[in-house]
Amino acid sequence: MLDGSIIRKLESIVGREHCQSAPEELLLHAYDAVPSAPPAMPEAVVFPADAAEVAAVVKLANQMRFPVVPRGAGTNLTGGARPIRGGVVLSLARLDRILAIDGKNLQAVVQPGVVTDALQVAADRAGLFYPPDPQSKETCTIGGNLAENAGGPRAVKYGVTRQYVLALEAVLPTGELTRLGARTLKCVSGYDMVSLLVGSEGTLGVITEATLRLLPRPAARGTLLASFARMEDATDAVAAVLQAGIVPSAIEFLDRFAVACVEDFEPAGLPREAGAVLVIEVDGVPAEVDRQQAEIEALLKKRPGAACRSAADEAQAERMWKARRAVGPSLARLAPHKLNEDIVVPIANLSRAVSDIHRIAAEQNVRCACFGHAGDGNIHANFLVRPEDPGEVRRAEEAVRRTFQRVVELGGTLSGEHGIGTTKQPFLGLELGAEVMHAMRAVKCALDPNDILNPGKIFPAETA
Amino acid sequence: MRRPLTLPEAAKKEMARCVRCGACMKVCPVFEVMRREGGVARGKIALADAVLRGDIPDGRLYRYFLSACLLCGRCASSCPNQVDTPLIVQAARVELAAKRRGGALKRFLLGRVPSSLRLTGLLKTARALRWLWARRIPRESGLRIRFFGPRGERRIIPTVATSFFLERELPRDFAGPGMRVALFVGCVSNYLRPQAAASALQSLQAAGACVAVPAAQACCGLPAFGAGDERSARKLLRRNLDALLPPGAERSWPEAITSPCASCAYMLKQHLPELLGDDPEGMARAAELSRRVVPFSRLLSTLSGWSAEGPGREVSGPARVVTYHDPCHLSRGFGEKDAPRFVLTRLPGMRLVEMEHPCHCCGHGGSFNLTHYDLSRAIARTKVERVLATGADLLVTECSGCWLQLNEAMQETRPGFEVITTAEAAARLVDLSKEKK
Repeated sequence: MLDGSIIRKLESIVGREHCQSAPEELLLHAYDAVPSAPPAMPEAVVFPADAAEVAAVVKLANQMRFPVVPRGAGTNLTGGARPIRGGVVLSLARLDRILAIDGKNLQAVVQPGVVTDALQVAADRAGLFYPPDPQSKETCTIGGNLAENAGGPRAVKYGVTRQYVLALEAVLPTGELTRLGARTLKCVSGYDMVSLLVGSEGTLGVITEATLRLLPRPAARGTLLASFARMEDATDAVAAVLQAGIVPSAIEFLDRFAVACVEDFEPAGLPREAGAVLVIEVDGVPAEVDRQQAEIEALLKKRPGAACRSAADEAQAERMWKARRAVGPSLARLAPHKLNEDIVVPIANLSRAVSDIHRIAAEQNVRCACFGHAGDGNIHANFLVRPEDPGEVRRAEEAVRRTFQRVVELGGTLSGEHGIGTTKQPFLGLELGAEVMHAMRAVKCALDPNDILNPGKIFPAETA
Repeated sequence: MRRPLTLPEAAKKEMARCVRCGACMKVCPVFEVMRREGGVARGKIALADAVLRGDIPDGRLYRYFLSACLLCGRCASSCPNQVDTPLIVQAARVELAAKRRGGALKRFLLGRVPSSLRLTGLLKTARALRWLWARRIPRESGLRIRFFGPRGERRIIPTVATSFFLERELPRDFAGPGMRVALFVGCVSNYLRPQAAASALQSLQAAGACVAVPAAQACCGLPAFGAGDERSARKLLRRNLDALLPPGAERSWPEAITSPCASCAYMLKQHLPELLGDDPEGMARAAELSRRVVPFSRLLSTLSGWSAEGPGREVSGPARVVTYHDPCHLSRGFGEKDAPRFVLTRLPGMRLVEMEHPCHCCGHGGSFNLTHYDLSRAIARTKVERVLATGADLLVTECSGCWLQLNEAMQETRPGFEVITTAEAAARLVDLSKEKK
């Protein structure tokens, strides 16, 4: 589809060495972090240096009608970064500067290619705090976080990426470079276009700069580890803590399967006999942290089948978090491949959701671990698969479908932080009504009449 | 016994476990300076996988990205799925080298260096060191690879020893009491830095070992192996096997084999039995040799003379600040981070201050230093910044490759900055204890 003249035009925009079409380079931009999704080869990869070059590439795409797929670090978990219709992958790797850490306004101005952890470190050095902390924060980029509206453990107290975006500079799907939102905490001038772009999975614009809100860095943190005889006791305890008026900065949940897996491969001293384990963190001024920690400990100890201890020092806290972080790697030791979903339910329905997911997995005869950000009702339901066993893969896919159905019945959503991409497309209709889906398509069509930006994502193919 | 895998075997065993999560991006020293997907483990695996399936040809860029790996193993040690990327890269390189018959090593190494640069480098280096390089350092030494690279004219080349270590008067057989230790010298210590080998000998003797330096030893073969030239590597390893454990002379075999260079030691420990695995007679001896290899600082710190009677650490007045760089082959290969630090902390008047990421590769990586000169320099510069940030004026490491790389990089930034090996540090302690007596 891309003929030589288009490649030459791309080269004249970004410079010859920043426009690649060798098969190796195409392959390197054909995948993301969904191993089951087949590589989708682009026809060229461009590495623009600035917003003007991004705009010029998108303008050209509108003239010549080829797809443009924006790309950050390629750690997408739903296949969204793959150029399934060919065209050009637009890598934002060269826009990787932190332009300002503004202590006076508690803001950061960053380019999309900045690695999330690098922003957190820079903010921390200035005594400030950028809370969103997706698991992949040491590799993923802010641009990807914005496009997916990424979350993380701290969302229970601090919310997700959207809560930290004040203003954006973005190239619209038709190629206009524009500014959205304002560098203020409040802004209701017109439609909330910032919210429209954040989480749009690269379909409504290419973000070239973001003004992000920072918070003062919490002075202290406290960590607790609680175990429960039955899984339901743990999920009920999550609701109990929040109802008691305490908002921890993280409440992470590990089910029995996850605990066993951690203890098998990277022993962290978790009680194997427990039905589930919670890792809880509170933050704030030291006195407040101590008080919250004591209150949670007292509250949890009164719960049925519960045991709870507070970390006495940094080292103990680190050990508790290490256990939580070990879940992913130790599941991988058991089975490198898995279907990793990120459903969310209202916290009052957490117990039912988790026990139903386990029931579904048992009925489908697939191994399943549930863990994650229980504090905000966001659970990672992981179904372990061996790709060489097609029967098992099919059963796992059916388990995913039934899980989504159940989650929607419980008032939940398919995705808390990974997005829809291509892997969840077939299920979007379970959650969204036909009218809403139509409205969303209308928005896409209005902003991107030529279907240029990341085409074929989010919405299931319309049956003619 | 682990042996090098063919690419299809590597695919089945290792590549299939890579789920493209990208966790390797946070630790890869090449990716840190290159910022390209082909620079990181996930990308290389995707490429090798596609080549194997016939989806893409093994073209110029494929070879470039495969060569852009230090084999440092940081990706493997932080991979959630424990994918052994160095094993995969190695298998892919061997496959590539096999396709280019005749002078595989040279072609692989020099094939993509622009010819003008190569010529300048060769000419200038050859002029500077004509007498030496042309005649005295044997063709198969890994050192030959290093200084014939691009920008040879710009490099800070260590002064060549007036007498090579192995040509000196040395104990060749075990005579006397104490643990029988064979010293494997390695090319850098033999030709460029004989004081490293001399210090190893002296400190081991002072610690009560009975040391011999077998005369027939050769280059360990790691540079050739790293470049995918298994044939040359095997040849060198056979010579070393015969030199260190002469067939039919079990009684005179050493109890331990060590080297001032952890990379040489790792080559003997890990790759020797892998590469000589097809030879039934050699196999048994190879396993015996492997069993006996102990990294220098680990051996020294376990010898009774060192641990019990060596002088302890005493700081009076302002202490000299020393920092330590973990060689990949010692920290990840042997899993040894404590022993060299133990040695350093026993030096009187020294204070060990750790740098940020001491385990981050120095960027030398055998042929990497040649094929990717600019990347290698960029990685070294990052290291230099981290060294200087400690306030140290002495840098210690335990690998000849690291020593070459770090010495060159430090001299560029701070002429006169002292970079030494653990063996030299240990020998200073011996000297001090002699003075005391």
